[in-house]
Amino acid sequence: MSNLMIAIMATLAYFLTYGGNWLFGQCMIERPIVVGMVTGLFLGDMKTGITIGAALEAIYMGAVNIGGATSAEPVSATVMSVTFAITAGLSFEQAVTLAVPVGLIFNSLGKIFILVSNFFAPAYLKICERGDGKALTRLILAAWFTMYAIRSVIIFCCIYMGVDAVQLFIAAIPERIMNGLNVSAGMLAAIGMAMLMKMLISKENIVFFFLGFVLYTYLNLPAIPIAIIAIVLAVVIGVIDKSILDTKALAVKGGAAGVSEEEEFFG
Amino acid sequence: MSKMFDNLSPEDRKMLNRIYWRSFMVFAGPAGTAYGQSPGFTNSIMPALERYYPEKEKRAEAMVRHMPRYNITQNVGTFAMGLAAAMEKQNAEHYGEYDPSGIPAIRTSLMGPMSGIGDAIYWGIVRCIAAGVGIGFAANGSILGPILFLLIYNIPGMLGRYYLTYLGFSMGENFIKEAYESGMITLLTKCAGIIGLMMVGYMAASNVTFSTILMIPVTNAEPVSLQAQFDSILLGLLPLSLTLLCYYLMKKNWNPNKLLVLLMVVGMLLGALGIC
Repeated sequence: MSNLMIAIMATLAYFLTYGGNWLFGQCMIERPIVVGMVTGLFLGDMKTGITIGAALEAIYMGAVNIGGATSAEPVSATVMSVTFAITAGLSFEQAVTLAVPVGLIFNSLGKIFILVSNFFAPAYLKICERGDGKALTRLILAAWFTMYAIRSVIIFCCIYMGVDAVQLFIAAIPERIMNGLNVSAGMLAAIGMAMLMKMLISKENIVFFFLGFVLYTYLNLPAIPIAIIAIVLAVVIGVIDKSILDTKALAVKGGAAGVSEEEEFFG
Repeated sequence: MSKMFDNLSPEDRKMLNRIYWRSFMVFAGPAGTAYGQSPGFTNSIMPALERYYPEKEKRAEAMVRHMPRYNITQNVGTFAMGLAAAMEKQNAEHYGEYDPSGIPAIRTSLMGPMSGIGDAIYWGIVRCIAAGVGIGFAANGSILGPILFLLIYNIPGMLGRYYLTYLGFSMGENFIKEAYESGMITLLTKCAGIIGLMMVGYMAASNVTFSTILMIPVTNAEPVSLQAQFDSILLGLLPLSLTLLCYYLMKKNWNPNKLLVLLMVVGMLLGALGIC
């Protein structure tokens, strides 16, 4: 594959997954695990794409777009690391570590796009004042296409110019640094997990984190049985709490009824 | 579930189904900081506005009314859309009798609580299970990984999106308030946290790798591996400590990007110095 062909295929994967995600109800096709597969498929090595995607998914687990606030941009990070792994001969660990700076740089680019979206506001208002529903749909689609097409052009340029440079750079890395890359690639997933913990943890439920941890380290259970155990525990606890809630509600009702009876008696 | 919606006419159902399908592109065309995702919201409820306001002026008035900033987790946001459709119906039937500016106001008041529930359930549980299962398969390069990830996330997502459209239209605004006051939402969030955290524990154990190759010299005997000592205390002691340290720093409001760079540098140093 020529550099031009590589850049076109990678950009196509980027546009379809990133743009498609927001056109089709945030269906998660923008997550590294899917982006890796699609990029790999387009570049003729799906297996590499899937394994790198899985590693990046763990790192970027906590980086979700909630209310437009993101900490990293996983899509360009995944597309680039998978592309350079397949075409420029990056090892798995190198590709995973490369993703980090890419994700940071493109995240600041994303912030610019949030600003750019302000320019569409007057047009939206004008259409609403006309009461034109069809024009509204058309403008949304046009704005969507413009935003993701511009992003795609930037990705295209980076990959087109980057393939040769990355190849030269990789050949020049000494072995000690390579070992360092391997170590940091393994450690980075801790951040994704920490971000999720920050979102989910309370004093009551922190013990379940340790349960999930030892079920894997000591019993080597895969994800599905652990998910089933988690659901069983949650249902059991939920049922118990529900009956406590019901008893409380009953007590409140009973108390209120008692008062009104008394009032009637004295009245 | 279906019994709850028996009172809906075929026209109502047709309209709600159209709102459901249009809601998929709710976040496709953001309109900056002031309006947020409101163009997508208005576009989603257009079937209702067109049905209840055949007159262009009244429809334009309704469309402008819905321009204030909107943002609710996608899979539960359709509740607000169904609710807005029901309220616009009321307004159209009793046009001019009361102030319609309350319609977007109620939507705005729903944004916080509904996103709270939506994030807890869809980001907290469903995505953690989907990613846990998906990464497990994908780490070996199996295509089942991404496919299972998408199915496990999107099937509950689409079901929630569909039923909440109907629920918003037929139950109205008091539903969420009652659910909060009865404590059901708190209960749901608690159960979501349990499932989510167990999956995070599993993912931390299976994805974070951190071990040392240092050997402790012993006089007149073979050197002892430091990692073997750690393993005898607790398998995965180092990855667990690293994850908890990251959590602690993040709770102290460290920027995740700062942490990413720090871990990269520390990892490089540990590897280059021959410690790991």
